[in-house]
Amino acid sequence: MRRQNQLNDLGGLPPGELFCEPDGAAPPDLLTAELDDATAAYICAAQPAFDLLRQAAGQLAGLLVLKAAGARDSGAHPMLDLACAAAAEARDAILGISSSVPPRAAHYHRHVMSANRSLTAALASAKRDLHRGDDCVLDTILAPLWHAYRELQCAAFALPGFEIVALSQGCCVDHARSKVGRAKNQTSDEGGRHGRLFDMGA
Amino acid sequence: MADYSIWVLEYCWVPNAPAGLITHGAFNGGTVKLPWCYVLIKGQGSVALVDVGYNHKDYGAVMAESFGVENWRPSATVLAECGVKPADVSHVLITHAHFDHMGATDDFPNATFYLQERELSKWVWAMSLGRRFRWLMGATDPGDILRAVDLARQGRLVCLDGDREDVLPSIDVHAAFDTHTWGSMFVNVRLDGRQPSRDSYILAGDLVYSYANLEGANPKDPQYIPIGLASGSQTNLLLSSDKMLRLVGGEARRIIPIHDVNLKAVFPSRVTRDNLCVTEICLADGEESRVT
Repeated sequence: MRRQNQLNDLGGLPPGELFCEPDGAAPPDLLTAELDDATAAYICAAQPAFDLLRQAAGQLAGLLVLKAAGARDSGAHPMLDLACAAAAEARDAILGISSSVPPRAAHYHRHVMSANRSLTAALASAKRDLHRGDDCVLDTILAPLWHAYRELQCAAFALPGFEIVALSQGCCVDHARSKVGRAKNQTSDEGGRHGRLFDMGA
Repeated sequence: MADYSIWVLEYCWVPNAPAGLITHGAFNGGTVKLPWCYVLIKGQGSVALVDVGYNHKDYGAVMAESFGVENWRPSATVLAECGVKPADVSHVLITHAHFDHMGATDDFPNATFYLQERELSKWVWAMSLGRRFRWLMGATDPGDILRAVDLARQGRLVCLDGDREDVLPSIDVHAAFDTHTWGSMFVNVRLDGRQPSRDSYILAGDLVYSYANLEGANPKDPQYIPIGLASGSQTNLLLSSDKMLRLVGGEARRIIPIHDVNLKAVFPSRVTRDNLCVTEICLADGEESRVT
């Protein structure tokens, strides 16, 4: 319970940083302005949690596909436990960086915390109800899962370095262009929105 | 007599795609222009698409800024070149579940979608392997999976288990498992309605990017060369090329590689006001040409 309360506590971050644009996107300068050191460090620390949330959301969505397609044992599928474990690991990682969120990362942080809460709710519903036979079970899981997914999308738009889809692995794209927006000292191997944040070889 | 009209509709392009992705091995071969297209099949009372393009609402900006995708146009604009509205589309055959092929499902509210069950089940399997295997989930979007759940609940998702004859009258789908993806498939339109057909066209999805994948560099001594990306195996890609070529009587021209920039020179075509290409593969009796 204490962890959940901590996740709900924004820690006195400037409220002005926490609003979304009317269309749900972050203010445009968040993606294009140069990064300060604190924000860059935050991004590096936050990437594993984002990836874990994305992974858990995808796993639960996959289970729902099985359920919607008529699979009988989707409620007992071992991937549900994997998704729960990934979400729990993400929650711990988010808690680990919540005490030092730089102002520019506050918008991102708000969305990723909201994603974690919604995903936790979706997984709890899945644990409780997915084994049931009736179709309406999916409603109680899908609604928070869609919300978690949208929050992850908003988060990905709020800071460079995070992506929902590994577009860089698309087979038909101009991969050289993914260098756009690179900065120095990137350690992630797959970058994110606007490509790799940092380029160790630069 | 053709029972169906078939058009390849360009909806955006990438000016500098690596040649090594088009034909495996051309790693130092520079770059090529790569049109992104979907295929419209119209006839016998149906309007069908093969693939639907990417989810521009969510990813348009990053596709343009970071991956060089240019001149995207919405499906309403693209289909209008053939007198069709998105709401007219009754069937969508998804060749594989990459974001750039099944991302725009929301655009077609009246369509039933057909996809190989293996494409979904292997997705789920790959997600259970753990983080170190995340390359396997590259180019797939959790949002697409959620949309697939919605489609299934609405009764608009048909999961196929391998080949299926007459998914629409005289239109067959053929599984190409463990090739470009785990559950890829291609579409065979039999214009003469016969089985086996002597007048058919195959929509190859991403199993073939270019005629070079079917013939190599020397048409006098042809060889199969796989595309540059396979979650399955390159061997299976070659075998699927061979299967397609046998289905069309050895006539490579009847296999439609939608990404081939030279397709417009093989079939009648025109450039639209939006500078996109419409390529007319064949016309049903009574259907007006959209390229003349």
